[in-house]
Amino acid sequence: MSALIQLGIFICLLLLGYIFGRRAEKKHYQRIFEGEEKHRNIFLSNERFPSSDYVFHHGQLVCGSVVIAVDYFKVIVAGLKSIFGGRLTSYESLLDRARRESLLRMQDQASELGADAIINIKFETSRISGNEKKGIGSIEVLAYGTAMMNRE
Amino acid sequence: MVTPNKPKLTAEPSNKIRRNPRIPEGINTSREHPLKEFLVLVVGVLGALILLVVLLSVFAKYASPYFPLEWEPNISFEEPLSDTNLPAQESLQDILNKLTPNSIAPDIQYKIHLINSEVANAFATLGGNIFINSGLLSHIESENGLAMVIAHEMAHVQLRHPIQALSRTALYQLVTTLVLGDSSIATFAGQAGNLTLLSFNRDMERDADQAAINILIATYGHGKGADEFFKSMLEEDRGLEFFNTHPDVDKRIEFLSSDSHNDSSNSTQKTTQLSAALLKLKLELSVPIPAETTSIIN
Amino acid sequence: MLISNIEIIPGKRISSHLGLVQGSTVRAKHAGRDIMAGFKNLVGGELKGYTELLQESRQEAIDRMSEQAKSIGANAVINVRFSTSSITAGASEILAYGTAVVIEEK
Repeated sequence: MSALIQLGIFICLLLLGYIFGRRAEKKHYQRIFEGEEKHRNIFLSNERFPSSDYVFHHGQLVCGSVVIAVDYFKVIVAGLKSIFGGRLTSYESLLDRARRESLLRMQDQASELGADAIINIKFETSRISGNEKKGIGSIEVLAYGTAMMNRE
Repeated sequence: MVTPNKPKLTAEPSNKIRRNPRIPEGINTSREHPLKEFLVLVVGVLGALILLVVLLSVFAKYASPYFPLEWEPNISFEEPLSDTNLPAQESLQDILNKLTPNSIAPDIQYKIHLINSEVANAFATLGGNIFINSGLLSHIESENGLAMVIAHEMAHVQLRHPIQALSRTALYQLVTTLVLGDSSIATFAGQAGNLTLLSFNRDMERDADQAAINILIATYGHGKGADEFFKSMLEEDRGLEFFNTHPDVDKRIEFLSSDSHNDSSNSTQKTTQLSAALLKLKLELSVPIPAETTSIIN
Repeated sequence: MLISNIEIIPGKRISSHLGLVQGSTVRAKHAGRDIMAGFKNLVGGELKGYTELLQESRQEAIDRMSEQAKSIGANAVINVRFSTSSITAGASEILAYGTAVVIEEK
């Protein structure tokens, strides 16, 4: 009977992970769309030498980071998929969210300084915590760049 | 003045406000519903696991006759009662000798051991070893009941079930560990494999029942008393058949007491009584006796 | 779609900068590659399977970045950078990001 109990627990955890994970993801994407609309005027670019537009601006380092945890459903789907190989779509959406969120947070910081553009943007992604064996953990994405502020 | 986010092919005027473009969704992510992907994967993986178990079982069944019984390691256990209760051990050996000539492979060297345990069980391991738990005795009345259990275990040995089961399980573990490593999927795969293997176990038990009743009929002339043990196990709740190593007890009793095995109208068919040594052991075990009063029984 | 690792595309003039574009992919190896890698760990040498896998992933990341650039009307991406990180055992993310631009002949 212990097999049945184990299976039951497994399915419960999966359902929990799926329901709450999907809800959190949907809500997060809503917030991301709103944030991107709000900050549409803070121009993002990863070029190093600012164009002539910014010659009289001064620059300041800004960064934004976020740590997002993986839910159980994503872990199991990824685990099963990795037997056969290929794209892990469950993790792709997670990383997409994390990257866009970190960009938004960086733009928040830049708008506080009154900047109108951020240049030389770089990303850093890393895995935080997480048991190597179980594969459950969280992803951290850091985005940093130089905010250009008008001298006036 | 806000510049719209359309591509410009001419040089832009300076001090314009640049805006971030609206990038369409679905390039870095997938629009597919996650549940659909999950279901496809689960079906695929389960199918692969079941196929693996089936292949291994077929392989084990056809390869085991080529592996001589003498090569099997001799797996034996501690504390057998056989050393301390020689008369009971002798009785068991007598029953074994009675049954052996009527079995499928009469020249196999069986070794029978009595084990001191309250649990009503009997099992066969590699090397032709058969173990009978003393707790079994309280569940049988006649020699026929005991003989059925012994014959059932003999049938397992003859049909090479121990080595088949062992090699199947070992190979399955090997393959899943190679492919899945140590992840949480591995435990899940282990459970799925166990459940599938159980259904093969049930087939083996059914085959052993069939062979055993044949041995019994050949030895005693009838199949009466064969279902004694199973009848007394009816009270125990064994749960769903799907999760059990043995078929349903009801079905086994039905099979054993069917007309081909048991002519209920024939009153000349009588069950044989247990030997004196075994009766004594049975009595000893049914009433917990403190050490000082053993002399009264003697 | 021209991809460049530097600020300019040599021989062309950049007429407008459209913004940051990113392409990323998370890929896992399949079990067969894992087993081969296990054996290679005993004898050493190049893990061709993994090299191929990562090359394909990188190409896919660049393709996605180009797709994003094309969708906003760019015809080149400059200042392309890569970032690789391991997400879980056996899966890694490759990110390619750059600035989408419109170029024209000098």
